[in-house]
Amino acid sequence: MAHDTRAVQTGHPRPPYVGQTHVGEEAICVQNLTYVYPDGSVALRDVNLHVQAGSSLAVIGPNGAGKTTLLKVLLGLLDDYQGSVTVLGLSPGQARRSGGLLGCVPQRATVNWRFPIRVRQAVQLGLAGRSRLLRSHAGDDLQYVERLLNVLDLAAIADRPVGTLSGGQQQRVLIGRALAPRPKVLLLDEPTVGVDEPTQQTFHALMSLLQHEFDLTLVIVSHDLRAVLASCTRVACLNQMLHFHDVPERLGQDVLSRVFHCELQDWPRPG
Amino acid sequence: MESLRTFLELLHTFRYAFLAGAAVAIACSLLSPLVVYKRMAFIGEGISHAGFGGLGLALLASVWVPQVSRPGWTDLVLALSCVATALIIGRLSVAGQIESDSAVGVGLVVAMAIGIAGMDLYSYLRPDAWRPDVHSLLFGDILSADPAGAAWAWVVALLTGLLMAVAYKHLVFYAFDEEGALLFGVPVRALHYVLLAVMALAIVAAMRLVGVVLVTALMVMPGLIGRSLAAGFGGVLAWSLGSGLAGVLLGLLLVVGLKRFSSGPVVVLVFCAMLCAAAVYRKIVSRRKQARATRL
Repeated sequence: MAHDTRAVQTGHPRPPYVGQTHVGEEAICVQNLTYVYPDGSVALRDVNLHVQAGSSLAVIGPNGAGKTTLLKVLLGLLDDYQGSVTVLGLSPGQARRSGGLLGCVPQRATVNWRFPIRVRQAVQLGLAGRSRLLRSHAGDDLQYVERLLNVLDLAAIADRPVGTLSGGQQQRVLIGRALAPRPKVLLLDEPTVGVDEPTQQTFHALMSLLQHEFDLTLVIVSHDLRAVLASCTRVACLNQMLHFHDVPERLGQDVLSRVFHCELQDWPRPG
Repeated sequence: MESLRTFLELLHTFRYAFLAGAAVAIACSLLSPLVVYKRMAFIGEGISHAGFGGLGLALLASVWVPQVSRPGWTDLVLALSCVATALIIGRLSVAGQIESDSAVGVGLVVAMAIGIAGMDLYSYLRPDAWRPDVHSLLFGDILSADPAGAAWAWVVALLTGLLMAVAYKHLVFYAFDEEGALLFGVPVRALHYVLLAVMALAIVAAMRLVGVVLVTALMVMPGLIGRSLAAGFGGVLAWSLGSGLAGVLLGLLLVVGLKRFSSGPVVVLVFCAMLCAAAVYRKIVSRRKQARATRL
């Protein structure tokens, strides 16, 4: 069984969750997934994908390949698909509505960064799905948030408005928010867009740390081939169909050329 | 001394106006920060104009059903038309069938046209019957508020306060990151429609104070003042509430004292002055911070 970091961190018993997984079991199971938009355009065609609990999957592909559509299906935002999709043994919608099993770090551009909220409160928003109306957050949840702020190097700026943060800091706020409800699966949509090179490198090191610290299963959608290939245990190459799903070491130039429809010069191999 | 006693007598005479005004200030000021950060000001404009259309339809309906022309029934038709319009705008913008600003733009002018055409037709069919004062409708006449009007305004204020108290965390999330809130299990759609419905009721209550044309000012200005003076959302809400109450009550005092102006324009001009003062204060504070940082 995966080490129960939650009990160790807060000293409180782990709340019972549906959808607990063990390392080696499947966290995400996608079978024969096909999605067609209302205008008739095919976003995904017969995609089969299995993500083991505790692993990290990079989903790469060109613009319009269906990467974001795949994320939306996994999040339960699109349910008129063909095929079968389960997340932690539940339908994607059930997993999302559980308020704690499935976390997501959306693209920074969708957030209103001018909204008057401080870093600590923005991270605490991640608890919204767990807390009831008229009830304040549980004490151990708030302690967990404080621990997240320390791990994510946000403690020193916890009282700053989010609008004054750099791109990398804002990204860490969104990660903290996603981790606040203690999810088992974390989906990230283009997490390094708009951040500089040093911050990108720090980000991937941070994701490795978080994955082991919090027993996470990661799915990262990214254009950043170099970084995700270096940090993820599996790669999925997507362009409507799944062209490759294996360890990064086996990813060949021919597959990338087929997926991206061009020759990728000096594409990086994990060292 | 004589002037003071006269003034106090005027306050007593128009006590229901002050009570209704305070309630309207509370309701609109609590919603105003959300309207500002979610950019719903134009939606508020559309909802208020829908009330004008509802009034025209109510008058026309009274030709065949006379009871509808009574003030309570008219207010009910007005409220229903505003809430229905708000929910339709909400549905259209969520479904993505039409941009919300286009939906509001169309609804606004159509509602005005229906309102005016309805009143004209009513005058033609009932030439000797009572007609509402269009000037009061457009620019407000809260001095005519009665106990029922004040009670209705306080019901709306309490409803708004209840919504903010019960759903505060979810509303903050919705305003900060609507798409993200959906991912975290916040009932964003339900919140969207409830917010629009409560906003519609607050607008209906505010129409008596500032009229159809100027009601957007009450939905926007307190929130803008709060945004100028506070760094956190709780502070923005507090300043919005305080400035809203101060602006409305000061405006009403001026209307009662001066006796020759419609309530709407006076209240709006008071808010305008407060907003300018808040902007100047913010600029001064910002320059001082920059100067301090430069010296360091």
